[in-house]
Amino acid sequence: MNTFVPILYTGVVLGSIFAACSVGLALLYGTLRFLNLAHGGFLVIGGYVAWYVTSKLGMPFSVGFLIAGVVGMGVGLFTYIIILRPLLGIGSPRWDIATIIASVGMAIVIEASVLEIFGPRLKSLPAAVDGAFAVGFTVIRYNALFVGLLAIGILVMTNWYLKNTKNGIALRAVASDINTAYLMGIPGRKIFAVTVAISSALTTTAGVLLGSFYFLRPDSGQNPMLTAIVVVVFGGLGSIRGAIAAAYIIGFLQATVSVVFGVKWAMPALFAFMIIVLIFRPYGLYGKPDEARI
Amino acid sequence: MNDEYLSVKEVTGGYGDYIVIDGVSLRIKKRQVVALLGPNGHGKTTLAKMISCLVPISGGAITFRGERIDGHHPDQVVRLGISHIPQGDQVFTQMSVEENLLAGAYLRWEGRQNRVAEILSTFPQLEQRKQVAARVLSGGERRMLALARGLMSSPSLLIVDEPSLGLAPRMRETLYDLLKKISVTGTSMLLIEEKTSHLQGLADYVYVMESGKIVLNGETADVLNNTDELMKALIGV
Repeated sequence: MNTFVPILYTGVVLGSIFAACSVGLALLYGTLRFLNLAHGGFLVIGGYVAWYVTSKLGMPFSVGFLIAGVVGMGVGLFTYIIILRPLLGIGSPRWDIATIIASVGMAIVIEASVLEIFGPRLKSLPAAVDGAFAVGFTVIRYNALFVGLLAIGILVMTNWYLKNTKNGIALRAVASDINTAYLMGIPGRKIFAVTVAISSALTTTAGVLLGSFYFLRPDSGQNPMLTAIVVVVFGGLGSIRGAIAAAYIIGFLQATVSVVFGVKWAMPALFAFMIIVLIFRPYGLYGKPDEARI
Repeated sequence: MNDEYLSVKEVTGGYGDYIVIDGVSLRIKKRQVVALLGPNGHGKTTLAKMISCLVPISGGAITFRGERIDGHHPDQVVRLGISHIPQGDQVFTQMSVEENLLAGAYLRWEGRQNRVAEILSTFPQLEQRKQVAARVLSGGERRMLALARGLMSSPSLLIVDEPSLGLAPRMRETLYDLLKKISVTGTSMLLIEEKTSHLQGLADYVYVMESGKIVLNGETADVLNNTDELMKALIGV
């Protein structure tokens, strides 16, 4: 009981946040084959926008959360128009390398802009829900449970969108085979733009969730981005189902190792586990060599 | 009244400098089923891709209902009423049968559920498996799904590229029965085939292609009865 409750609590909360942080990255890779190394920057944008709305404008957490999503959508569309669409237009034979380099540039621009606008001092988001209760020796914060539930809500809504809406179905068709999708009358480029906008909104809202746990710095998205990349690779590049499953496995693994062996072993254990999994499943949990994954 | 639907005039093109199609002309009229016959690797699929604008042409012109379509984007061609069922199992494997059909209804999203029900009534084998992921379907079922999905946009012209390739004889019969049913509804069709066995009773007109050129054309019965020319074009003897 002394170890089970903290593992369950930390595992669910961490897993949910990891999943929310990774789903945008998986969506982008699954559709555009774009590994966005500015993902951390988008997480940071979400956190800072919510901080500004709640701390400077005095609005509630929910408003900060929604505005962060809207801003993320706008920045995503801007990114698509300024960077991705021109790269698609020239039909670069090394699309993967070109977009990785472009996204590194975006990450630098985002970090410098956040530093310029908000300064270098740490910021913290107010908790969405105050208070805590104890189960045995484990203190459970309502805020952590709320953030975990919100992350699950984001995942459920994303899944609903992909399975039930016109653009969601089209997005999955484009991810599967863009030439066949064209033959259905699906405008691939428009769907790309929608994907980037949605993925960015998912990432900035995930950034708000992170911001309610950790301090915000202009570079505070780097570690969550690395975890998100591990989650997405482990789940099978581009697979949303895989990313969600991997996020919870990694969340529980980190929680277990932290509680049983100590926090310092969490990351080494995670990478050791991932290497073992990739030896037996080189394409990750749900990845397949040439198939659509979303 | 001009009842010409598709007109391919002196079309030339290929991949980079490699010319696959060399001055091909063909016509499809309203409600007509035209077969494009020829051996494997002689440009039939490339011509189909040129009509649906997946492959650009370098010379000639393609018009549909009087409107020039070469140079259009592929999704614009579908909006005009052309549906192309590509060769092979080109279904969205991770999506269910129903979701594949919904993807086909992108241009007719309003009333999609009625359309799905209507299409599934023509394809009863798919009706039973509509919640199943397309990746677990058999080859024949996938081919049926591709055909059903192509009909979701209610096309006026259907391009069907080698629908029976690699299928068991029974499934082949089922597919051709379905194509006959579709042709009776008045949908024009360009049927790409390597074999002549199912053309009688389905195709009104036949073009025979060899090395990217039309070498023989005429009413189906005339072409099929012209055994010498046909054999020469198809197997080179």
